[in-house]
Amino acid sequence: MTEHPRPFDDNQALDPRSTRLRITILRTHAVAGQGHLGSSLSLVEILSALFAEGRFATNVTAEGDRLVLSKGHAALGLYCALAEAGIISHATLATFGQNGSTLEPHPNETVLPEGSVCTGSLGQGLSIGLGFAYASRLSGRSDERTVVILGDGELNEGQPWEAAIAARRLKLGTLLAIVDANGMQQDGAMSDIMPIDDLQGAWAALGWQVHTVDGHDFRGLLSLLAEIRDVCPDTPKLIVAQTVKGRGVPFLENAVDSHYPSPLDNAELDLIERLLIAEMRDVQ
Amino acid sequence: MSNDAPLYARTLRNVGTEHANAIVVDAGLATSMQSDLFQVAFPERYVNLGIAEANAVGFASGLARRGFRPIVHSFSNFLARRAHDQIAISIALPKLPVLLVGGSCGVFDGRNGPSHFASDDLATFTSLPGFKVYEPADGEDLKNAMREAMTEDGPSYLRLRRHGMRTGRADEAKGGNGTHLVHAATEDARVTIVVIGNLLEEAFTAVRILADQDVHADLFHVVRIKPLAAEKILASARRTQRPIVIENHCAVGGGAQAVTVALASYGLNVSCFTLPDRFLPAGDPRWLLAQVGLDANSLADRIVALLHQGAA
Repeated sequence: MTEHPRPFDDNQALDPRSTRLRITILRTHAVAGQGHLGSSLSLVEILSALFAEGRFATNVTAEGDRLVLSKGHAALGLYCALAEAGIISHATLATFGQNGSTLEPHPNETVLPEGSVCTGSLGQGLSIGLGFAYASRLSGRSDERTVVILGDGELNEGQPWEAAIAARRLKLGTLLAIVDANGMQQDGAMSDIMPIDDLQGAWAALGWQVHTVDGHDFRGLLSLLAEIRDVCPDTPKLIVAQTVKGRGVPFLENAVDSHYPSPLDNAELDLIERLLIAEMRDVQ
Repeated sequence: MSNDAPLYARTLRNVGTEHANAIVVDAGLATSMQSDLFQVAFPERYVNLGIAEANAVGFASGLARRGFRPIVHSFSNFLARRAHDQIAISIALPKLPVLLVGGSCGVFDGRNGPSHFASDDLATFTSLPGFKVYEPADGEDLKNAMREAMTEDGPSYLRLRRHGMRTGRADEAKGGNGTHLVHAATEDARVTIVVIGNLLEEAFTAVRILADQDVHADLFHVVRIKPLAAEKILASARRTQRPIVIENHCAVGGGAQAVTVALASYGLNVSCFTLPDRFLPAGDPRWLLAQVGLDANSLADRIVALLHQGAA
């Protein structure tokens, strides 16, 4: 369904935060020797833009925006974003992949309250987001936004569609779903496994306000997040962020192997890091 | 007017009065689940999310993290079977204070056949870490179980008999949750009978039939299946060496298994009178009870046969 942007098109507005996050993800993955790298890399600009807003609640009872990583396998990306934002330490990040680490392969709030709620079994996060958004309304905190990040493959599940119907019914205008639309799922291209021909049209028909963006355009994401924050208070919002799985590592981009690849060796890491930094400078 | 309303409807409304953070989430079965009094009394704390159990569970998960105490309604199988993964990952793993009420329970909801007949729901909840599991037999049990579920930490499942449950005490049992001694043998007890949840009246009648035959029994009633309070049962069973469990659920994962496991480490073998390991035909409760040998007369006969077997 999606015409994927080529990596580092000239009009891509790269941001140093995104480049640093992408490098942190690659290096953390290399040290851990495990993790869902491709999905984490496709999320980089989305996470950078969300954390750049700096409005997430610091704990369960605090006021602020809520984040649910429904595609829990991208926890590696989230943990690196938390470290880059100073919410967890880099020393904690370095435990990723170790036995008993609080940074589990899928988010577990009972051991890492700073991260997402418990996910990992796909399809559950949007319903939890509904509960968050409804609680914000009941508590008189209608300025709090609930952000739920889903994968496009995750939309094979039925539950997000149940939640989408209910979000409209409950008029949850503070609910924002962001689909990391990288066009891939674990077993291959969505077009070969289980495509959704018109995701935007389908959710618009369910009563959502739908936006489509280049999911690697940091500044575009940032401005869209601000633009739709306070509009249409009764209408839930969907951002379809068109991304590339494995973004930033040429031999992993759009590759099935990017889902759970072997870690890059030091030479590959150094090369990719130089490429990423050079690309960023060229754009700037 | 509301005194004529069904028992659960009144109890639920009272829960709403006692707990300002209670919020009811229905999944398209509100008229069956008797939510109307609550909905009228507390419209701002009532949501019907339609026939979508997984979403209802996730919605409650979000609410519970924000200080609310959600009560989620559906029929037992539609929670236990359809939404099990959501209950495990969105409720049990984060240890959230959500009360799930399953409105069907074995033979008492057998009219709709195997899709609705809940015979394995307890197993799905007792197997999840941290879940408290209740099966009340009467209005007092119901009130006590809901009070405990709504005030303690962590998730709970309540297996509800929506129709035909007595309002007051069904027997001489004392208040509180856990396990009650509802009848102490007037002479030396030969058997220790443990009845789980809603078969209390059948078991109580069976004990009276047995007494008429000079077979005396201690009768215990379990309201909270997990965590099980087994101490009183153990003390009696050590005297009689003949513990029997009666339950409106399959033998796996419910109260019968919990009692069996609790007594096994003391060398006590438990006889289990439970639902059979097969899907049952549709039928009314009295007919089904007789089909599976769990009506009072059948229970008395089976217990006498068991004692004779042991004596032979």
